[in-house]
Amino acid sequence: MLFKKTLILLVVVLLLYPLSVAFAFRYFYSTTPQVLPAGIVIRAAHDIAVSNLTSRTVFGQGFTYGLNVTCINQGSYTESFNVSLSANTTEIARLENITLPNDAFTTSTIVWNTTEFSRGFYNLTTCAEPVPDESNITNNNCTAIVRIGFAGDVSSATVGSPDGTVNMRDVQYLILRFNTNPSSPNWNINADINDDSTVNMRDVQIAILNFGKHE
Amino acid sequence: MLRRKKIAIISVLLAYAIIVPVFAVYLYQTQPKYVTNGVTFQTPTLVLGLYWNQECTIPATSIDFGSMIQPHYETVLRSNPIYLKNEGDVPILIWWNSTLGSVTSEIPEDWDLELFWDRTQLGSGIRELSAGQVLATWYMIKIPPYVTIGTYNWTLTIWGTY
Repeated sequence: MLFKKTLILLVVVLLLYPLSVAFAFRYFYSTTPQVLPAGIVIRAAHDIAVSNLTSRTVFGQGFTYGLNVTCINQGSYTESFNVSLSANTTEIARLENITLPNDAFTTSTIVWNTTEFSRGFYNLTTCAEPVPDESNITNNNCTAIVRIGFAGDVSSATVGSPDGTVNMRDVQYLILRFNTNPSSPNWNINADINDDSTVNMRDVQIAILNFGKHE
Repeated sequence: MLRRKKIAIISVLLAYAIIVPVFAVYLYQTQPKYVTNGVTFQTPTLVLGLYWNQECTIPATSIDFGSMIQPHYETVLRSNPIYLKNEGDVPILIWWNSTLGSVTSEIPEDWDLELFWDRTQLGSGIRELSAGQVLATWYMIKIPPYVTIGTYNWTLTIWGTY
């Protein structure tokens, strides 16, 4: 019995020896691995994208605003295309035959007169119409949810969020941003009610003229 | 008590069977040269070089496939010639792997190592490179139509074993 066990152990040990040697050779006897970083960039042949729509989320009813729309040609060829801007399903404006070389972008200003629009929330959508053979059309649209309200309704108990009423909170909000412009650190485009790139007495006046109005 | 002793003896024997050969090979590999009974043993040197040119003067350090337009109708093959040189003094077997598969499943890759050797002198499945030998190989990727647009970065690792 003891002899049998010893024999088995001996066999195991003898089997382990070549395995260990093989492992050791494999481990120690290999070259230093050569690591090659590799890379490729796959570009679309035709790819138009709308990258940016206005950052304004509050619009005063009856005022006219300029909305900046940035389009990029991410493809490999010069493209001509059309861009439309809609509020919900109503088309506000349409830019035709924008021509862009590859890797170029352009920012266009679309004017939106809110007079004909009732107060409420709108899905403002910019859409670049797909160019022929464009496969990636997921980036052809850019949507922002905006609100049309009484001009001057720019804030509430939640600072910077309109509540449908023009009151002292709105006036206070404007005064705290008084004399700011797009380069100011505390600039907020919603406070620029008349869209003249400055928060000044004109904006405060608009809020005061609508003071007390509520939806 | 006896059982414990048995286990201890078996453990020692097993450890001996594993550690001793590994340590011996390690010592053998790390000692540059030694003489036993008048016979000189030379420790093999294992070095694999990757180059862009056949003269092996421009080391290959990265593979940049550049920028390409997404193919619309058929798969496009992109390949890079890489010269492998066995700069050691013993034959080595070539191995490689890549992380491309974990980056994307849309781009198949291949290195014609097996293909090259199968068609030449060494026969099927043997990827041996003799000392000083230089071989032209191709690393290739296949870009299928409508592959996802984007930037892909991965690493290739190639090494040789004795």
